[in-house]
Amino acid sequence: VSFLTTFCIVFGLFAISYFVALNGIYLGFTLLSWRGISRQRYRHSYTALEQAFASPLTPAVSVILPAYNEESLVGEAVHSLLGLNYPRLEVIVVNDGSTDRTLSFLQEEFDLAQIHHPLRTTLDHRRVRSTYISRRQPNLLVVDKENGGKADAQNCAINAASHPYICVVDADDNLEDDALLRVAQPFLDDPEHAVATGGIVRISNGCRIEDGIVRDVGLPKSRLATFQIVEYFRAFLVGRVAWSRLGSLLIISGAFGMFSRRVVEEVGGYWPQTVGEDAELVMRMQRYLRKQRKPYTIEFVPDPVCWTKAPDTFRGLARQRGRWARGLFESLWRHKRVLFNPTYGLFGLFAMPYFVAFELFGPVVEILSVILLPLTIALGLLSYTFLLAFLIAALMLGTFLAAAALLLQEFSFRRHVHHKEAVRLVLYSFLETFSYRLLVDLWRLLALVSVASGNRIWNTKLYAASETNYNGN
Amino acid sequence: MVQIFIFCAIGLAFASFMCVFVLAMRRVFLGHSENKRLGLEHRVAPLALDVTYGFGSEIEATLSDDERTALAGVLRRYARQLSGEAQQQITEFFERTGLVARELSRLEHSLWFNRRAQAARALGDMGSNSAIKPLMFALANDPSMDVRSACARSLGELQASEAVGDLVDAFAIANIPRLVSGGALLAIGPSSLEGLLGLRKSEDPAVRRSVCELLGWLGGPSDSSALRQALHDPDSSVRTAASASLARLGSSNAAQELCDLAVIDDDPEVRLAASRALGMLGDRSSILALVDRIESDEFDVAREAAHSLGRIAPQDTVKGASENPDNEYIAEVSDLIQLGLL
Repeated sequence: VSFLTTFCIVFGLFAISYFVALNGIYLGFTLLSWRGISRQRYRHSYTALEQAFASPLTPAVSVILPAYNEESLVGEAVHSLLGLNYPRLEVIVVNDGSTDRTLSFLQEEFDLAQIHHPLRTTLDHRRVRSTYISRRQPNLLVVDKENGGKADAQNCAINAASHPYICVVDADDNLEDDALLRVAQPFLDDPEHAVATGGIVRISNGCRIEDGIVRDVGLPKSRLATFQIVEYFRAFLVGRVAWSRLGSLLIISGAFGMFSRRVVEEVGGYWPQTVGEDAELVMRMQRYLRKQRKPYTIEFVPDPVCWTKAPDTFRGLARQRGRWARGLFESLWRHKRVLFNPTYGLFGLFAMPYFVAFELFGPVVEILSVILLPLTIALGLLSYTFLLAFLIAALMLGTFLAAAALLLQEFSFRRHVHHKEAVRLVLYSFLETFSYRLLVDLWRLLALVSVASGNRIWNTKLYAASETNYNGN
Repeated sequence: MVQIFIFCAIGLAFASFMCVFVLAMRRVFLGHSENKRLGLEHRVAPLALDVTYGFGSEIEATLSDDERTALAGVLRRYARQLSGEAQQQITEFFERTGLVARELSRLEHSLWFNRRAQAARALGDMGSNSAIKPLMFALANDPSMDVRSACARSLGELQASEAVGDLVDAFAIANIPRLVSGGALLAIGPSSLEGLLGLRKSEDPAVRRSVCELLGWLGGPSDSSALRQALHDPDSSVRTAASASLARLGSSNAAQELCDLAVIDDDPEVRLAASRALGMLGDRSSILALVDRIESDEFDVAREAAHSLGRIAPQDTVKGASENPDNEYIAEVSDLIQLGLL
């Protein structure tokens, strides 16, 4: 009993310190984001996207779309990409050994003709079976290859890319018309130093989509998807903006990111041994460029919008969060030498430790706290008054952070125009702290346990992608 | 400890309430002002057409302040699309109603960088030549890059040839993105050339490179001698840009120098640009050099050389593909020619 008591006291003190540190960082990030987003909002009123669109000096971009069993989505996605407002772009679709009609659908829809198309050998990938070009849209190239996973398909597309910049998107994404021009802005402003940029990903469940374009923004009926909308606001408009301002952005979403092809090739492209290939690539770029001591920028741009489908079932969400947690673990483990290494500046001293302590092991601390709470009360170590005060403070803190993120999106790039939807989002931000977040933490914890126990069956399912698409759907 | 938590909770609850309150108020306010603006714009849209036909002075007296503001918003949008007499009428409307003076005052006196940048951008839309000098002053002196960039864009829109020197300076020192200063110089047109040519011996290779690039868009055949000199620049990015620009100007007399670059230059980017330029020039004397490049180990150079060869001699390339089926670059070009895509 005395051991248990000591353990509960020590853990309780640790958990409170952890809570204070994490939320202190969140509050700091919220302030940082306000500054970053305010500036971006001002820029809206005087930047001239139409000039960038018309300028012959705007660099060409290769848009990369890896597809595995995406028969139902790929056509809409490719139409949407070909219709983007950007002066010079090519679209490269890589059919990663799909077992459905993805390739034949593309052949019919875009009038594809098989051609010889030599590929660079800079990055490794599985064998290419054939390449096709569209007779109607000569800037559409389709590469058909053996299945090797998303990262492998992306590497193949990079080898096929003709232009100096690449933009990576998913098949279930819908980019807004000017999203590419906006996400390219750092490359247009400072082409010497910009190496990667990412845009905001927003959830399209509940939106009306026609021809790959989001026509009417709405909230989904699914509670799970609505919670994710609130969560994404916080993650992108607070987290990513703040990390970007600190020059230590570690994640550019695989759903929508733009990169200098040269730098991606220099670091060796995507790493196919992880399911978190997007985060791992950015970590590797940060590490490589900091070691080279070259000035560079990796930025998050909050206004280019990419709409994506969120899982709206418990099973789908559990799979997605499990995959993210596993990807994060694999990426952090691969770059463990960066941790607390002053050579890498803020990236090594703050960003990496933050991700290890709060993103990777956060679920362990939070779930353990919930489990130990009744025990602590039973041992008489915690008074009900204290517990109640703490829970109310935690609830208010979570509510404030969610409300601040909502306000950020309202002031910046508001898309949910109906008042009823705003009320619903506010309500969900109140409920999120002690419901949805705990559930997600549980799934992340299970994924972590699965990684620790070396669950190979799970691995096989994830890497070979034999039945599902990349998103596990 | 309990008291601390309670105080924190009260503070945070108040902060959350304020966030939600501000959100609600903003929605109410925005909804109201947006409806009002749309209504006003709908009402004044026919008047905006009258302004472009030169009846602005008759209308102005009948307008309230709100209507005048709405009309200005509509006219600013029109001004971006129009030119000639109609644009002149819009400019006169802005000058008469004091809106140009108001924006000039904001540009010169506002303490907020975003307001100065918005004013600079508005002045470009309004098309008043009286704004050129203040815009030039702000381009040279404003501490904010956003304001300087907005000034450069507006000077381009105003086709202010007297600003070429300042834009070229901004271009040289890169105190605004070169895409913006370059875009403004392109908008001003050939009168920028003299200033640009003065920069071709700059010590900064990035400047020399950008000059070569702009010459390709702005220059004529008489400027090709400057670009041909740039083919021998010690910096490879300058040689790359000069190759591309020579092709754009159609300077076929540079074909031999480009052939040499395509074969012997140390930098693969230069060899790539020279190979591409040869295809754009279409000079048959470059065929041998291109065939040599197709055999190169460098993917991009070999592929580009094959494309260039396909442009210059399509039938020979298709024939070559059937005789040499192992060469994947020729095979690709042959496929593209047969599909009518090259």
